[in-house]
Amino acid sequence: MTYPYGLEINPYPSSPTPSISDSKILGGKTHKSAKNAIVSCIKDLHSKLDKIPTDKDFRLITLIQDVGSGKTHLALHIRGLTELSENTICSYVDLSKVAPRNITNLYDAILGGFSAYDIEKLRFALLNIAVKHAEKNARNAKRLLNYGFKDRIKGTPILDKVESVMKGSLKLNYSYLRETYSEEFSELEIEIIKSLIDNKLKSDVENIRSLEGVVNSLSAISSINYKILREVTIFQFDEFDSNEESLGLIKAIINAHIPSSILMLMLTPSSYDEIRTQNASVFDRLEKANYKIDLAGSSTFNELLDIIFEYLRFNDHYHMFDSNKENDLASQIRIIYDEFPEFRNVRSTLNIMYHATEIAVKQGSVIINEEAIDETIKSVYPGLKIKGSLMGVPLSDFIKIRKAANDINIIEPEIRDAVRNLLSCTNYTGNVKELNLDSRLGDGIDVVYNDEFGSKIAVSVILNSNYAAANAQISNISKSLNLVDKLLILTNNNTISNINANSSMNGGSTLVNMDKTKIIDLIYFNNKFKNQEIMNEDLLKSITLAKSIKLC
Amino acid sequence: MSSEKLLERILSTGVWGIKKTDLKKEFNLLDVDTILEDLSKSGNICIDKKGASYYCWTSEAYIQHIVNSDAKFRVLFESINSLANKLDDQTKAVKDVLANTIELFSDNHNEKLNLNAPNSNIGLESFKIEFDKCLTNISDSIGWIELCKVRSEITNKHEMSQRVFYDLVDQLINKYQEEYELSTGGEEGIVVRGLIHGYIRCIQVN
Repeated sequence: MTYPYGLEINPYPSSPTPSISDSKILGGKTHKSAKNAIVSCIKDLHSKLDKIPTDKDFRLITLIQDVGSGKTHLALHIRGLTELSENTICSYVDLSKVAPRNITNLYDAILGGFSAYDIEKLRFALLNIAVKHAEKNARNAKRLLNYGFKDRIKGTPILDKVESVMKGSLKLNYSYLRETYSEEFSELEIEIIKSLIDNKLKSDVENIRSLEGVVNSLSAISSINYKILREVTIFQFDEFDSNEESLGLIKAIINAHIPSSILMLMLTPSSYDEIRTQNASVFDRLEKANYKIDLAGSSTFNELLDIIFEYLRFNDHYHMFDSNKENDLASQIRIIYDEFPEFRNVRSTLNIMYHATEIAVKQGSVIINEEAIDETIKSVYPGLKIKGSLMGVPLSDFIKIRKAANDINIIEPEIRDAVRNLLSCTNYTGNVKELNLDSRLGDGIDVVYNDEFGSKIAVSVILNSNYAAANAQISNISKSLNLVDKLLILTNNNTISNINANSSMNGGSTLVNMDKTKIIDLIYFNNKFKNQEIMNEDLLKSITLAKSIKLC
Repeated sequence: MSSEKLLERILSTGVWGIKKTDLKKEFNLLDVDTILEDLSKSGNICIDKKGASYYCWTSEAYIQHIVNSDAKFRVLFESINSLANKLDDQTKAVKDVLANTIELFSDNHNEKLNLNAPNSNIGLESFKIEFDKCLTNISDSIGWIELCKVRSEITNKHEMSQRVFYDLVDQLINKYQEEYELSTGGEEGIVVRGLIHGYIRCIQVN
């Protein structure tokens, strides 16, 4: 199956929250800047670490932004960065999954938050320490590794024991663990080393009785990591909120200044505000964070567009997503962004793109077109309607018409035609009378009719973004007022704002501002009218449209 | 057909009219008396004495004839005409006032329905200035501000209901999408995706 733009897969994530694999791709100027700031913080700390890190070597990073703005994605992206894989190990905790929030569960989540790769890295490095001791003929280390007389006779390399332990085919002789590691590591660290090598890090949870115990264990993990790998330990807490237990833990970690570690907190502005009111002490600490990563503008159009394009570019192995296709897709996304405030965030936009890509495949389209987006909105968000549209214009038509409606000079004749046809429609239903479509009625007058009170009304359509030109046109048309009871001028947004400020219109004139939705409604109506597709329901909508622009 | 011929003949004589006897001579085959009586009863013609003879006119021509020949009637007729014109003007004025009132009611009704133009004496641009000033004044270290604090500040200065305030904020955010961002939470705010967005900040986009 080939996806649009010649892609081999649907590049967009389908899950409502990002997964580790989804987070490999990071787009958007703001998100990339935030990433660079975090990476710079990590590298800075790493570069400053001495042989024995102290409490000065602790950093606090906060990432405060709304839900669905890409905080989790960024955190997971940082965790998976190749450039940091030799500098850091990272524990990611989603606090929303920790329930009930007590010390034990929180510590369990932290230990479970380390990736399998990080754990393997630590295990391997720890076993290598034992190997080095064994190679120096340390009896305890050899016994720990179960390296015995037979191995020596066979000439088995000591390193082979490490491989067997890593594979789980060999158990260490833990009676010699303490003696092997006691030179470099503390008692507590040796306890953790045991659970690490045994690949049962989470079993350390059973030893925890207090908050102090958790902090000491975390310090021990960080210390072990730095001693054997010279890496920084990152503790990421996502969905951080004002829960008392979480606040207590975070406060303790900050107070402990765990050496060679970084505490990274992801929270929403409302959680931040709640912390302010609930725990001034923690709030004060958060206020003094070393880095406050700002994702300002994470939901702006350009940011979302760059994120969308990044997924395509990353998977565009055949370079089929060229600048023309970029522009075409951008114009469609612009319309969705403008018309649906609901989609002005990363998560919702990516969801649309995922479904639109799937639908485009089903439709056999080589690009993500307006029909695919329309179908997506209809099927995934069935309740959504174009804001302000009286004709119920389908999104696909809306996108097409709006693209064409950018040039006022092109659409002006079409709007004139639409107004005439709309009046023909309302004449048919009896809402207006004595309709005169004769264009020789006067300079600039498009149509004349009688309203339901018998007043003679002339309509003039003036779509012009140029104030001077529009004003001149209106002055000319105003002369026709002595021929009729009322002059109705249908104009566009820019014109009305200027004219209102400098108006010298006669009392019998009415200026009606038609916003872009009205203009699109008129064009949509006109297309249907010309194709003789106006059915009963459309007729009612047409009358409403006519009333909305004061034609009847 | 016979009455039409007679009427056409009378019409052709205009303000001078035509003698009844002349008509009888001209249309000797017709029962002129009966036809003229019917036309007179239906108001199409008038029959009156001019000099010693009876003449026939159309209604309009007869009025013109009397205006020309009778000074008293002319004065009376002109007075009535002037009154009629005044009445016409006033009717038209009343009609215009009525139409404008209906339009006004319709506008107000639409405003209430669409919430497009909040009933406030502050325009969107003036509101933006006030709003931005508030965001700067209340702003904290991360830039996010509770909308209810901004509302309290602005509504204290300007007479404005909570609904009108949020209508204006909604318009502001839609018009200047790239300048503001909203965040979920808070007790009050703007509802997007079914969630209350009660926090706001200005974006300093470079």
